[in-house]
Amino acid sequence: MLSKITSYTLQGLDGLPVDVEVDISRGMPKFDIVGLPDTAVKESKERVRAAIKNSGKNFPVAVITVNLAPADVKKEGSKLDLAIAISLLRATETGMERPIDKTVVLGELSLNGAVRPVTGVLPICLAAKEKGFTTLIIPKANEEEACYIDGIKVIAVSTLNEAVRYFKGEEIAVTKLKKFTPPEEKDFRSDLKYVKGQFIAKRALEIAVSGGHNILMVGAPGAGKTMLAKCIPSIMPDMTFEEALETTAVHSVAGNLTHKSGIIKVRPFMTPHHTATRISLVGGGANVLPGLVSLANNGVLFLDEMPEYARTVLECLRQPIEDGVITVSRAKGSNVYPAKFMLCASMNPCPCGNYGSENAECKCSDAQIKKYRAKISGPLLDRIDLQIHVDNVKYDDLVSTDTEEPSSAVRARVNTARKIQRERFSEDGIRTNSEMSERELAKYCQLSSEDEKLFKKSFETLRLSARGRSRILKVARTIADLDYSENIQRKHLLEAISYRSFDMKEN
Amino acid sequence: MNSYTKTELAVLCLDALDGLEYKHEKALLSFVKTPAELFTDKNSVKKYLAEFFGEAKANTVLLSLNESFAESVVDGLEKRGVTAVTCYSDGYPERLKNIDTPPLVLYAKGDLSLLKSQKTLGAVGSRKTLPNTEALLKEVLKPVAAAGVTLVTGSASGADKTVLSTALESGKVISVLTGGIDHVYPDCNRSIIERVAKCGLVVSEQPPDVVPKFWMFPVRNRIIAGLSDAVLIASGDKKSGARHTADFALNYAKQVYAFPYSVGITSGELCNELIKNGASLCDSAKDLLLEFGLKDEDIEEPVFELDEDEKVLYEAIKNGQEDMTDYCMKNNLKFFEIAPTLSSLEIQGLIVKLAGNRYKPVK
Repeated sequence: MLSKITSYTLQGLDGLPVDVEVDISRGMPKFDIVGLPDTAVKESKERVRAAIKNSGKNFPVAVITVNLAPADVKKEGSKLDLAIAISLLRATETGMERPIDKTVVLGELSLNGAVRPVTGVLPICLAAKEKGFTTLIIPKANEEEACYIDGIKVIAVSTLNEAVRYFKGEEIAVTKLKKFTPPEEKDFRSDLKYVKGQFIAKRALEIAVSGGHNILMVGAPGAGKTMLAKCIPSIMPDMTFEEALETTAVHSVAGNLTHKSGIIKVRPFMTPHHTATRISLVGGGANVLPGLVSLANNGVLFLDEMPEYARTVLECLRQPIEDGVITVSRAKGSNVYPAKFMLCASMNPCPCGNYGSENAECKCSDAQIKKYRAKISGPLLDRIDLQIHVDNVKYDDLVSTDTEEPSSAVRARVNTARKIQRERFSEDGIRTNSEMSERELAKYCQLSSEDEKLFKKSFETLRLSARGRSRILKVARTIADLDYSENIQRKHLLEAISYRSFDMKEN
Repeated sequence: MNSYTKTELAVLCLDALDGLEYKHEKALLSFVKTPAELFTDKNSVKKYLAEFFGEAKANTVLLSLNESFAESVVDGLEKRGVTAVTCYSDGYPERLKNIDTPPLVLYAKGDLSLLKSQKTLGAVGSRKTLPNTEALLKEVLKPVAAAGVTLVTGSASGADKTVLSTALESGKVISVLTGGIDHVYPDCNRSIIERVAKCGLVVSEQPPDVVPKFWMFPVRNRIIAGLSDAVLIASGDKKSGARHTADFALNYAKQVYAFPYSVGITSGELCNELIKNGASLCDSAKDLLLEFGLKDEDIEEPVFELDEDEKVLYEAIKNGQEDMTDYCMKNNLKFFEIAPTLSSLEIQGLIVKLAGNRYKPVK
């Protein structure tokens, strides 16, 4: 007897349909799975056997052959358990008559017959919808992940029996479609209202977040760089549905989603320790999983004390910052993951940390400072649009009772600026000012001839490197957006120029 | 073939010998009638040397004191494109002959005619010169260099480097290295020194392969002071090496100028002390041009057209308002309201940004 049902496996972020074929014939009892299964898939026969038995069904005493087609692609994980069990039961049980040609089954089995959650439900759901499938059977625990997708019927089951009942024709409640809404206002532990003074840094952060610009904060120890960085989540703009799906898909593949979180509505804020390896950052491993740059997609990657990271690790960031995607190639294959993140880095101005400080003398030699700063290569620095100094806070500022602007007010402005950018770039395939290429720069960042002259003069007097030009223009564009200005005005350009400080030290 | 005379070869050879100190070389040269005798009159040279070092060392010294060794030294110099100017050469600067310890040989690379410059100004300072002082130094030196005064300085970062880059843009410069020409110190300034060797002159008292040592710095400073008609001290704390340059200049009876500083700025303590002890205060190019009898009418005072906001902020910064966070708080302003004004003042060269978001006026 032969039976067939469709399930899915993952290749990077793409879902790959797998036909689970089961053949049962007479002979010496055995249970074989063919079609390049990995260890987790091979072990599924034990789970399937126990789950069927413990659900009160008969496990056939016969030659059972399971084929996973296409047979030349490696299948991994435990997602196929439920499909194998259903397919097997359809071959032996009577009454499982419901048509299955437009149905996808996903789920891991527990020995007692319960259906356990699996990774990658969201990307698979999207892929199945695209392929024209109409029904998706998923574990109950993954329900939250799939309930935002319109156009495909999602049925969440918690036991094997429930799934069998469905195929026997019983109606099981379809998961209700939820509408995507931004998360409710949250009281952030790190809020800009708790940061006293630091006007320049706060303004720079607002600009960085608005335009998705990478930012580097240079300042003495204790100046408050980390505290400022921790406030970034509180001013991050709300995610659009599209962005939320993208981010959730990556986290789903990485297995980071708990069933409660469902779709990710808050932009990720990743803070790897400086002992992080290259692979942990860019992704890889036996199963070619996404790394931190992909997990930070649409969010922030925060590197505290940047020069402490291994140089090779930092250099790895260059390509993803530039392209917004990363291709991870390993023996098992190569996967493309999104990596559109905003880089936020902090560092001391010199090894002792006091260079340029008002209160303490710097004891570092020229060579030491040069060596310390050289850890961040020129090409990497070129990709950081905003480079600001964070000054020490004075005692008076700390005890002042002046009320500081709360993050929610800043976030409102950021949201508006992002909206302006989305509308402007609707036909250019990008979302933020930081992603502008030369083509968009020419289109949206025109300067008047007088301002162009001033800009040129500033390069001479301030010893800016010519490479900084597009960087300043992008920042000026964001400042103009925050000011609801159609064109970049002189004041926007001038302000943008004031946020470069690191690269001008070179003579 | 090289074009060095016998006399020059003898001095070169003597200078290249290991283990002979400056005073011994000087004594030996005054002992012989002409330096060429070092090669010919070996017996009396040996006797003289033996008095200093004893028989054994005198013999080893004499082994190298011959023409073939001198030729090999010259070969080495030619390979590097270095010219040696000995104190007996025509090209040797008069100014150095007048100091009590003139270098026996100057190893030079670049435009040798600069050694005979009509007017020279030494300009030195500390490595930890504030950015606003660097800007002032640039502003002051630009017209001086453009008026044909050759600048003389070292090779360090900070003030020296500012002098070098200013002169490369608008005039002539001599950089006096501490070690040999092969060993630029600090190494990060190698590229600018190479440019000086092309457009100006790089000199050193040490043979090219000598690695700079700490004791050589003050010794080198006497050459900077000696080569200059007047010396400008741009910055320096109490222990700065610029103090040596100033002291040498005073000893050689040359005019010393210094930038004035506010009380409490460490990198300006030396300058204030010099002014207290009688050095001339310099705060504009005029002061220096007068020293060289040049007209100050030629320098155009740049005219700044400041709008209201710029005027207010510039005045505040001139009155010591460095911290912009502080300024915003006091005047109830948002930073983005003053950021454009700050940049504008900076681009016009009126103020300079220091590390830590502090601003200082150039003047």
